[in-house]
Amino acid sequence: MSIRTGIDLAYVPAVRKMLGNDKTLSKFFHQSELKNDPQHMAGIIAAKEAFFKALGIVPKFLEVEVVHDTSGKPKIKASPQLKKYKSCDVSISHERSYAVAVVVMVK
Amino acid sequence: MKTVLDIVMRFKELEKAALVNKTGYRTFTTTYAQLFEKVAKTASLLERLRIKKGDKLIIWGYNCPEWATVFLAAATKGIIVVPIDHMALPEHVKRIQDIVSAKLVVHSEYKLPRGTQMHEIILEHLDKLIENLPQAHHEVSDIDENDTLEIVFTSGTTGNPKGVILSHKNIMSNIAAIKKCVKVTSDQIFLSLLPLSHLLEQTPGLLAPLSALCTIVYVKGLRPSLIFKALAEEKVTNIVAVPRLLKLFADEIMREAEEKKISWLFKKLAQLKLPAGIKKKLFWPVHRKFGKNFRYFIIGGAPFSPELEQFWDSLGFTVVQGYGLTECAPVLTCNTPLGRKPVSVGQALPGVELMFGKDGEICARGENISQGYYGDKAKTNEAFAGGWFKTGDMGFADKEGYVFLKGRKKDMIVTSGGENVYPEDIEEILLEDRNVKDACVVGVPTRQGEQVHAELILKNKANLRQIIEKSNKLLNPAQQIMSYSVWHASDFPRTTTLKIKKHLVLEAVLNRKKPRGAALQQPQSRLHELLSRIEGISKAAIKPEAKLGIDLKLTSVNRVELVSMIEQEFNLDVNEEEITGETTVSQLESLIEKREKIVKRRIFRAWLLWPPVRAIRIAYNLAITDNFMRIFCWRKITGAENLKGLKEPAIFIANHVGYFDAPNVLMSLPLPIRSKMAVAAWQEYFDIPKNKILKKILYQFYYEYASIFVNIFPFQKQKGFKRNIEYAGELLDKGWNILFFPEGEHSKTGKLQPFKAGIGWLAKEMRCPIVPIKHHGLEKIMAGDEHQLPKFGRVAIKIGKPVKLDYTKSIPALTSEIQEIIEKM
Repeated sequence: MSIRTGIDLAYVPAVRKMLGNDKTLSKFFHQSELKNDPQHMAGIIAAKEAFFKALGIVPKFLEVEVVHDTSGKPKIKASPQLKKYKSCDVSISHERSYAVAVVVMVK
Repeated sequence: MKTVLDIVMRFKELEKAALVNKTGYRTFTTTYAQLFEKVAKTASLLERLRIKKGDKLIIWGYNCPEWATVFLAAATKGIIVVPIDHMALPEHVKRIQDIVSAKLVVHSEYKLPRGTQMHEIILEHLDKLIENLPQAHHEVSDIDENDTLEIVFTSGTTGNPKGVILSHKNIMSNIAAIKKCVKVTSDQIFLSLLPLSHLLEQTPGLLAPLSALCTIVYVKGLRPSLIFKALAEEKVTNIVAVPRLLKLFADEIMREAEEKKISWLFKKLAQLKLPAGIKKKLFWPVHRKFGKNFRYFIIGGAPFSPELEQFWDSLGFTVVQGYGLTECAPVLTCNTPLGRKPVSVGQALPGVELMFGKDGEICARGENISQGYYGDKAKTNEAFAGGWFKTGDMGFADKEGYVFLKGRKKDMIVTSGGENVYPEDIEEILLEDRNVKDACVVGVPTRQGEQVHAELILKNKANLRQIIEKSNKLLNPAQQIMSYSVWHASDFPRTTTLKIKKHLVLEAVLNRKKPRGAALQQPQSRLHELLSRIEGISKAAIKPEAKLGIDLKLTSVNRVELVSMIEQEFNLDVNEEEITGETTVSQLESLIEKREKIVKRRIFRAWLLWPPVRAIRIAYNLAITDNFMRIFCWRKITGAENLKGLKEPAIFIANHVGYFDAPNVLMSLPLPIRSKMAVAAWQEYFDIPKNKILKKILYQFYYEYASIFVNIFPFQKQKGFKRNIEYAGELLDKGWNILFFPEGEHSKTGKLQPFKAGIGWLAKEMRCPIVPIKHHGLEKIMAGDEHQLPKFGRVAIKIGKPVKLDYTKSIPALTSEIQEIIEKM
């Protein structure tokens, strides 16, 4: 069994600045991930970065999608080629100006 | 035709191209018949959302057929449209929403409107939303010509926007008047470059052409390469533009002339006075860029400098200048292609009366004039006096009725000597200086009156004082520039029709602590400016050798942001994957300077698609390749009947084990599909390092063979990913099918490997049917990358049903969906 982890911290005001710029947003998010909530969006960026850190590759933000189930728990949907590890779990948290996410993968 | 509904009713069942959408990857055409249906279905959608006549609907997005569709649907139901510029920020949208209380906002993807109690619809998803809806029923009597069509908030170069109320009558009478002035015939093809939220694009660029059943072409963004591509491919005859756009084109042309080192020749030839026909032949490389069918430009919206007018005239282009305001729906005066006077904005349109009031202020009267401003009686009374509308522009008319503009009343500077000075006159003089890139003259208030102040943007290091002194010598005493400085940014703040927002410039000037004098200012590079905008960057660290990652400490998020900023600022397409933490600032600078260097090494070979080559390919394959395959593979094909309904080009996908896959799949397809099929091949496979000479020659031979006889086209894994998708789009637009292997490489075990995101991108951007194919048995015959002898065996080839996926889904979702389809086969 092998485990990989990734963690990332995102700065909410920087993400807030992005919200008026649709071209920049389109490089990081899918339409389905958009919400008028800078903290939420910062959490999504952190989750994506953490995912790629765990894999150890350069981030391709549009190849993953962060979805939330009915209870609000985030999950990562990725193109099959990135899901090399059998299971992948993500957790996000935010407080004032920061959002943090951690991703754990188990083969 | 009295209302917009009357225009739409003519579309029914007409099989002519109405709107052509060039997304940058593919070209999608909507016929008038289809447009009629979409408008009717959208009207149905609005009904379902309980949006009634008199309710307001905000449209906030980029130009696209969906924008026009929503506009027309609302218009036919008496729903009042409030168009907002796509560049507007969410705060602005909220401000407008607070005034109009719209029930619905229709916006482009990635826009986040703020405002309560509004339904939201995403423009790009419209087709999907209306797919299964019935068409709404329309009665011509539903709409009266005096009903309000839209409320347009003027962007305003001078501050607070006002909502101009426009009725169907206002717009329709303007359309009729324009058509009396300028022929609009159904063989014309318009390229739409200005934002649809602006009346200058709406009336002459959308509604007038639609009323004459012309074709309108939309492109994504203002990148010169995409624009010129559209001009060539779509046989455009007319462009509605603002002077600034013509300046950008002119700059682009001069830049190319400089690159080819013929700018001196250019300037000499431009000075010759020749008839238009000869000029066209002399400057044919420039005319060729605009396409054979190009007739003339229609421009308005801002002052058109005589110098720029001269430039285009000397190249043999026809530019028809007009003048108007949003409040006039919008055209008041217009030149005609045959009756034009330089510098003049033309004669008044039929049905429009003009009067010159105090100070030469132009006042207008006619059916096209708005009734007033929404919710603002005070401003309405100010502007509309005694039945006449006060434009706020100053001018005069000559004996033949040709109008000449002097300047805007609001921009006019009243000096301490009581003299009226027009900034445009001074700016014109300043712009003649070789070192001046752009100039903005404002009146700085002092105790005695206003003082003429000039803000400059310089091209090179230059002595500011000398520039001002030289210009002052050419200006009259009242126009003397009293104070001046260099603008701190690389451009002035502008509206989307690219007019300078003078009130912001004045604000910035007034907020400066000390007036800067004639200091030697080195223009700060635009890239430096962009870099300093990124949060957390130390400005002192920005040096040419600085690496983005280590020295400037840019995170990968910062890097993507930077790429986006560069793309928007310089109107380029940057390959994100080329910009890493190791990239230096100077490397970025040179990337920007080189701009869009046309890929000299043509990777995609157009001649492979030619009929004679196709014929050779088919003959060779039928005779030799197929029979060769038959020796080793005993095939059984199922599902061929699934292809019967396939009416459009599609992407065929299959699992991948080895070199025999493509020939076997191709053999199993009907000849009409097979003969128009291009196969995506992994480009990097053929790239052999130079030291292995023999291998390099061998692989080069493979490449040539495969190109000609298998019709492969390179699909790069690492660099230039976007270019692959663009080419795939071109192939599909030309009616060619594509065979694609989503796994990206040969499966060594025969088991289906996880798909790469490439197929997801293709599904999203190409929007064509996907035909899944699965083969069994080839893994035992010829698998893997090694050169080996093939074995003998049975092959089962299953052809699945073509699927059309939901392109509004995300790329990972689409990729996973496609993987599942093949797995289940």
